[in-house]
Amino acid sequence: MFNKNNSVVYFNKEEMDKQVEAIDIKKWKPLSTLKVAVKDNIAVQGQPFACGSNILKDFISPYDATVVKKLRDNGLLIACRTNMDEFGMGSSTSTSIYGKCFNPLYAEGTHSAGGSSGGSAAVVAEGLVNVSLGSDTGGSVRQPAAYCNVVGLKPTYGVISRHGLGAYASSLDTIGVIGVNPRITYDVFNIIRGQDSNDSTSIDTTGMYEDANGSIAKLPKSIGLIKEHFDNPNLDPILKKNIEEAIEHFKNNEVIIKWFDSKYLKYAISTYYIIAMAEASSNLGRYDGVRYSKRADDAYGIDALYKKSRGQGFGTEVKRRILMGTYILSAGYSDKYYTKAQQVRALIKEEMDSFLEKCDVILSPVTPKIAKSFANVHVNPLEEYLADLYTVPVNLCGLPAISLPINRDEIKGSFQLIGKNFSELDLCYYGIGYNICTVAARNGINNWKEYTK
Amino acid sequence: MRKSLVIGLEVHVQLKSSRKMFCHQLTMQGNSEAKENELVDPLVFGMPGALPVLNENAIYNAAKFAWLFNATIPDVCTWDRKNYFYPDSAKAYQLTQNTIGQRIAEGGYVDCSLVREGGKTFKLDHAHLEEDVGKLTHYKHESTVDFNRAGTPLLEIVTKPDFRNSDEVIMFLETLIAGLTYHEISYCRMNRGELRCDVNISVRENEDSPFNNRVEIKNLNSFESIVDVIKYEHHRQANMMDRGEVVQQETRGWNTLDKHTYLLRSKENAEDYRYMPDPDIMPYNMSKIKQSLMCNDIQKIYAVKDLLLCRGLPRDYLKAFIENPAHIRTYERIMMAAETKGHIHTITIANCIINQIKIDSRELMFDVIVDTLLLLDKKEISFENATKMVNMIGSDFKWERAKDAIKALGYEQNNNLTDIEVLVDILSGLEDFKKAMAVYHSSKEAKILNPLIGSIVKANKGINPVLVRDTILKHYNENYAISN
Repeated sequence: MFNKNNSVVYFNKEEMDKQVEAIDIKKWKPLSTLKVAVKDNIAVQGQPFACGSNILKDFISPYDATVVKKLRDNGLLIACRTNMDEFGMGSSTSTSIYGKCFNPLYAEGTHSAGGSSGGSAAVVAEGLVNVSLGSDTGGSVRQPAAYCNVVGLKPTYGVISRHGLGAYASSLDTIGVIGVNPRITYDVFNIIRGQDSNDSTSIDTTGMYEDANGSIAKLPKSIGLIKEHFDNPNLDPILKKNIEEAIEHFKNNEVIIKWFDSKYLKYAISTYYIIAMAEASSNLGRYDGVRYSKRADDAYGIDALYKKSRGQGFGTEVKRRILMGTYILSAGYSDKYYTKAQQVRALIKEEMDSFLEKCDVILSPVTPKIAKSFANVHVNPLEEYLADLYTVPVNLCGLPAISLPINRDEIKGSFQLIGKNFSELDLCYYGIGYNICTVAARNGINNWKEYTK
Repeated sequence: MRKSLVIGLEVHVQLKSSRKMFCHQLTMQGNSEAKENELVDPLVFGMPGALPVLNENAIYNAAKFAWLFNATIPDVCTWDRKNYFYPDSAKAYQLTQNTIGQRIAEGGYVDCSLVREGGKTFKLDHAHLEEDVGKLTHYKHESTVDFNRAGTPLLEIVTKPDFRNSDEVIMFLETLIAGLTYHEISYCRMNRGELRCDVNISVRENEDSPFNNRVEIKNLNSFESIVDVIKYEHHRQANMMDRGEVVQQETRGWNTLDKHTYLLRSKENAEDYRYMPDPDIMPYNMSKIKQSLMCNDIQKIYAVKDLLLCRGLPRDYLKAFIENPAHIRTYERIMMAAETKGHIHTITIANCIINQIKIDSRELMFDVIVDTLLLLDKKEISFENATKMVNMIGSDFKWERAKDAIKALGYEQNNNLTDIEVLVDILSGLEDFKKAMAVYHSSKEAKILNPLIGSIVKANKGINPVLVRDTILKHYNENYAISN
């Protein structure tokens, strides 16, 4: 282990020193020398690229992911690789070859940092780095950020190139940023965004993210709340109360609150898992022991080579999702499950878009509970899937969302703001605005504009 | 036996492309010298994080096929994953087009009456784009895989079951190949695997009986094996029917050595490919390509014969061109380049192409070829040296202008008539010369003089043999003919 919480899974001091030496003062950029930790499923040339899996244990990446290249081009330093759930499948960072990652906010390794980007959230919470990269397929950036009380940004699908991101579910996968505060989170996002000739789903964002008037804090004019989000019987009452207090801060600052009823949200979990598992079963076929992935020693014949290499290489959760995905796509079932799920996905997107036409952002919980104890992990996979209720609709719709701690200095849980496409800058400004509101309130001033006067 | 045949084809054509279908890596056409597994990158090798990106030139080329054979080009092209495990597939899926109405070409037909008198029209079902797979080699105790071929753009052309005998199949393929090569959609070199065929064959009692189950024979790469397979399956299935057996729908392979088909897999064992739309490639809008194809005024060429005759070439040359349609393109290119430079006799070009020029990688130096042929027309270089020089292009040729090359290589031809007359005058005193004259005198056949001319040209490098012959004949007429 590289550190006590097992959030770091690879660190090389020589490489770090080399990066520092290579810095050219003449080419100094605003974020030069800022250290960024990178999730184990993002390619860094010459470093292990295992995606947390035994099957890629000895695989060294021959190339840099586009995001890594962009960080390097801007003078940022690649600090270390972080722990994750195997291939991003999980929500507790406890299924990788490296072992469990512990939440630094709790003593004695009792709590999970969340997942799958648990390592990336923990290194920020621990103070090892101020910012890290993760990946968010169904909440894997926002959820661990929430458990670790840091900021997690899941950008609009297609704004950040996926070239060099070990694929889990291609139509949902998004590289995201975890940071100590919304400002640094946005700044790193701003560096890694943009169209990439190596990813045909990436979008040209030229001119879309102008830092308007240099303002650093903003509040939305209106916030939407979805009734079904708060009626959920699994939502921890204390967390619910904390979020309602957060909503109070917005209300006190003349933000209009609108309530919506959702018809389709209850189908989000099943829709998400059908699509994600189907895509995963296809995406993970390439790890077959033939070329670079780990080959079983005792396999004779091609069928045995496949079965044994994949049998020994993948963990339980990954196998479960591959098998279910294979079933979902098989002849006779594909229309029943996969095609139908794509139709429901379109309905969910339509509904979310209609909500977002009526308000600036939607505010919701990120997780049903404030903390995740290891005692509750891996008891029942279905229950764990259901806990993704708040995060997966965002991925199904390709929308941006930011997970923000209710209180930066105290563990009170987090909420997320879901915005329209390409509204990452606004989401981060709202985050800063919210933080000012809370500080102002603590000083007895309810309206932050008065406080900043 | 004597039962009726029904045949349908799936033709796999490697598109002419120096880049792979979904990445920037070169194809084997782009680098024919590559060592095993040299033409790979993270995508071709199926590494984590590598994503496919479209090669728009390949899409344009495939759309040209749709235009040429009267098929419908969709508004939007989409891609699907065909999932299966086999070591020749690095991603465990092949990117292909499996969505009806979103494939590169729907419908269409190939009209063979343009090529052969009484030729039929054969309907196409559709054509779709996909990527080629790697190449497996099996040894006694191990197998190896080479991914150089993997990712090469492949057009799969699927016909309706319109063929009734192997003649029709060959007629169809000839027209298809002439069109594809002339319009530079594919080189169609079957010996390099650039055109491969799956043949679906079913046999029924007579022309009016309903269709029976079809048998698919995979991966045929010569006209000869296609004809042989059709003959073999016709017999095999007809005999089965005679014995009262039912022919099952199945996939078979062809053993070229023993000339028989063998079972690969039956319908029950057919693989479930778990097709799904590929989430990594965005749907491709075809409107620009459609527009540019509709606006072009290129004549559709399938019948090579008509094209060449209208160029004023003698019929003798047609056969050689029809056998190798790629040569017609070269011919056209040279004609086109020559138009801006001056007149070259069409026969000069045709001779040069048919006899000598291998054209693979030499397209960039058309200027030099044209200049050489112009010099040939002007007799400043001999035919022999001109073809030698043109064949050097692409390997040892290091000059920018034909004139420089001729000078450096010592290929300049001496056309000075006075020089030659003086030479012939001197030689006429020799015994050999007198002997040759005597033989010519009795036979009057000009070829009798060839050994004499040959020895003169050999001894006097660069001298124009045609002028030597004319001078000798003149000398004969002046000195021998009268005494007759």
